[in-house]
Amino acid sequence: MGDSRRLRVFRAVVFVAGAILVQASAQAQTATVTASVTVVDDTTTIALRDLHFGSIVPGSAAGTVTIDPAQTGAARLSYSGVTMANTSSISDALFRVTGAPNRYYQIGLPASCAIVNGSGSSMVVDGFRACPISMMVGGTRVYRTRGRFHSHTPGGHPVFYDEFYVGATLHVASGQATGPYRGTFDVSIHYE
Amino acid sequence: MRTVLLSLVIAGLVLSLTAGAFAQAGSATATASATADIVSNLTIANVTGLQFGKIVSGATGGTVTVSPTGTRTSSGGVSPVNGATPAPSAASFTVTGEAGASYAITLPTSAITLGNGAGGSMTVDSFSSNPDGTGTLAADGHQVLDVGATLHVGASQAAGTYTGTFSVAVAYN
Repeated sequence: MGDSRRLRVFRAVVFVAGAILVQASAQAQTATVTASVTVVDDTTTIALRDLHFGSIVPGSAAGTVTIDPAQTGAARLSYSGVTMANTSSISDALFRVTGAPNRYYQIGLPASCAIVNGSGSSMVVDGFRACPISMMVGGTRVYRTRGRFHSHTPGGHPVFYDEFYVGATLHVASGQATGPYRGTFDVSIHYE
Repeated sequence: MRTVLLSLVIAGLVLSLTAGAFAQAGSATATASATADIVSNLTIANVTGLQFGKIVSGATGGTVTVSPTGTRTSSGGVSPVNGATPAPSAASFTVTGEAGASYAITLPTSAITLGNGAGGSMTVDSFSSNPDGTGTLAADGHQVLDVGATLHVGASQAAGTYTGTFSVAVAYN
């Protein structure tokens, strides 16, 4: 009798544990894909374009190269203390955030990141700034850390997303070792 | 048996809590790359000098021009001696830097003076180059830059070997 009751308890525990696992698994999947399945139907954030500072000749003292996301074309680039060897490859970063119609989101920018070359030398990138397309004023980009999903109709079907440009400042030491430098930075999106 | 079940329960709870935390945060992250190329400074090295070759001066002055491709022409009372050594040739430089980079070429804008060491002199001006004005480095980061100019020979210019120097500057655009 006692054994039989104990067995029933065990079965119940197994059932409950199994149920939690299935539920947790389902939630984990939705969380990694959308992070807010209960509020928003489709939310993704992707980088459409990377941040490129171009080809730089270090100067005799420390210098900086800045990509301004509020500007376009060659005006995006400003620099001091260095010489630019090739500016044709410069670009600001571009992110696309998909979300619910007319909802707002907030952009979390990194304080800094490091980019490194293959032989262990590094440079610091900081001063990150963002300019959401949805917040443009009279066609001019402005620095904002908040954007809004608006309608786009590729192929006639409305989808809601926003894009934002990101620029930053690169710090180049005098005699900075040559080579291609690369690093990554994260932007976080908070759906309001 | 009991240990296994307990582990399952705990694992389930942990997963559940973790998933819940993500869902409540309502946030996502995207990653982009940041890149830069640090390149060495643009350098220019002289490979061969500008050689006007052997010439005979006449009763009147004249000019000898060597083009960036090395072709020699003359005017006035000057007779180039073809086939003699040294042969005429344009100055040749190697420009080295960032592959594909564009750079500006600055040639002497005023005349330079060649001397024979015995008080005789001639002037050289009208410098020209190939490429002209702006160069573009090849995929290997090099480009050959050839420079020509015009030599002014006086009437009955004293015989001898005349030498001088000039500078060519390059800078990234």
